[in-house]
Amino acid sequence: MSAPTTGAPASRESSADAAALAAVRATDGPTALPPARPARATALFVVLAALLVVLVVVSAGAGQLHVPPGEVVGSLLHRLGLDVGPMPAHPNGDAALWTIRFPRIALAALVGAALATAGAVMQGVFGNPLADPGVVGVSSGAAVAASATIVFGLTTLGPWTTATAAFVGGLVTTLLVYVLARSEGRTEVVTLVLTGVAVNAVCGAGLALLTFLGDTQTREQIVFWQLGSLNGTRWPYVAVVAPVVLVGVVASTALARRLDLLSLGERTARHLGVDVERLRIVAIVVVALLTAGAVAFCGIIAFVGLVVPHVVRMAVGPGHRVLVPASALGGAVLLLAADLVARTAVPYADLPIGMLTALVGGPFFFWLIRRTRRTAGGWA
Amino acid sequence: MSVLLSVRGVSVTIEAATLVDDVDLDVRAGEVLALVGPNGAGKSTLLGVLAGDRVPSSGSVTWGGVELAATGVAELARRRAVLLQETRVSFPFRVVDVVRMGRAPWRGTAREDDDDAVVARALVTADVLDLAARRVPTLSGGEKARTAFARVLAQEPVLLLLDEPTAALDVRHQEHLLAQARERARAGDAVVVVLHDLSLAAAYADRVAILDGGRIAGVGAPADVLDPEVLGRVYRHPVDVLPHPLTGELLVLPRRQPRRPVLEDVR
Repeated sequence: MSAPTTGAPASRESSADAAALAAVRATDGPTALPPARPARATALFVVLAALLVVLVVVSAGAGQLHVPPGEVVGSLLHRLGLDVGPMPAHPNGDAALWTIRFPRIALAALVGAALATAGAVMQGVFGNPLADPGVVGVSSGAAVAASATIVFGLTTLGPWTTATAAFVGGLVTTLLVYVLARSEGRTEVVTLVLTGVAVNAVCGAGLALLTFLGDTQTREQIVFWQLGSLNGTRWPYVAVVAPVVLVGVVASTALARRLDLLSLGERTARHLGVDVERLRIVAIVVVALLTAGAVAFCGIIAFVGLVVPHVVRMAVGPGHRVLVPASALGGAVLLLAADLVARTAVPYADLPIGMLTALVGGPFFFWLIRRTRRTAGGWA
Repeated sequence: MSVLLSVRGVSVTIEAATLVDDVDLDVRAGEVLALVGPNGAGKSTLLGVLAGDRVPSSGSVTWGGVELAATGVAELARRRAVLLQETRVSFPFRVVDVVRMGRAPWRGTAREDDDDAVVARALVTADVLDLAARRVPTLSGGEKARTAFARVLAQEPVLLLLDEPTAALDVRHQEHLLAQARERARAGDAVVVVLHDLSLAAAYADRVAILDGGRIAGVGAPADVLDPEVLGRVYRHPVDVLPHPLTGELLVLPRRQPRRPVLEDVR
């Protein structure tokens, strides 16, 4: 202990603190602050974008009718009005690319981006890394509503009917999960997962009822829906999904800063100027929009929203300004790769993509639960 | 000294319970006001009212004549910062990221240009510069509390509301934090701090308000308010107030039963 002092304010600071303070005040410039955005973030974007381009070219060429990468690029460039590169040599090559492969690729990328972004936003709003549209049942809620339009033959809004129904179904379930799983401003892991179990059970019953009510053809449609598939994608589907996903991803990116603040807790976020009530509502609508966009034509593809944001967080940290757009890109890459496997793993068969993502995502979810439990020191 | 916040006849009733009961209080620029009192006396509730989190059931809280409830969250964030007892971060942000979040209210204003300098200063003042690149979940309780304090400083508020800021801190950091709070007050800001340690309140507060069952049992300079009889009644435990033998500052000590001799010693 130092000698007793007179208790003057300055003497209460240890001399080391005082010196450090003086140093900072003297320079009054940025001391050696860690950068606001790690260089790894830029690297991640570059790698993901490169992967996306490669996957588009490879995926477009792969299948029963093989088209070499050079010809895929040539076909793309010719459509863009550039007479560069070779056209597909096969007489049906160009047609196969543009009527079957490219719409499917576009939809896979859009749906992957939508699901991963929805996952990132949902995790931000719940303050919980285990939130995912599939796990908590939002996807199945959207699927019930969408299936209903198939079974009852509703076409009120033309090609938008199913998508709109999926949006409404998704919105209702998201709100329901949100209200049920939260208490006193936070969401316990157990409550969230159990709410998901309950919601999935009810939606499963709804889907079962609709399957029972439908005729043979609609039954088959619903069954394949539940498995999740991109088979038979046409351009009109892409035209419906693309604007929905685009709006959703842009809106999510706009929420990023506020989601960062929300991770300090709702009260602290308010203290920092965030209108928490409004943020929550906007975020829930955005999650429902993105989930609906994904579910409308491809059914339930689970775990993408869980896996992608988590991997991105491990790579570049949890800041939503990087997390949200990187998740969108990463989701597109993941689903494109998964669809490539679904189409080509078994010759002459188109595996359900939802089955593939669940096969990988299920064990990942299990690992994540264990890890969260350990790091949070319990079921926080 | 000018009055920043003026609390008049404020009561907070939740269901049948009255948490704050007819409180009058002024928060003045340039001074540290300590809120003390036993558990459940309504300290944190009153702090919530001052922060604008809680709209009182009756009475008024005004800032420059304007009701606090009529002020938007964004404007409030530029005036006051709040350090809560519990500081949780849902995702593994780095310390520097959390402190940067304190700058959020100034986004899009001219003061945004100072961000880096202010954040650096806050990191040093709260003694977390060495931890800047660490992820929050890897920190100890006291380090988390200091990180939250740095975030509050980075917000550059006119009014600091601190709810038991010293609870998780070691002796050096307790003294350091309150010295910083007092320095903010000397610079012209207002500080309201909920404290359990009455000697700390006596040492650092310009005024102390004693809360008891939601009511103010006394408010004024520490030497006037920290009366053994009042404290004994409020805390329902005998308390001594005496001058420090070396420095002369007030010490507030709970009276303890003399230790009974252990059986073995008797034998």
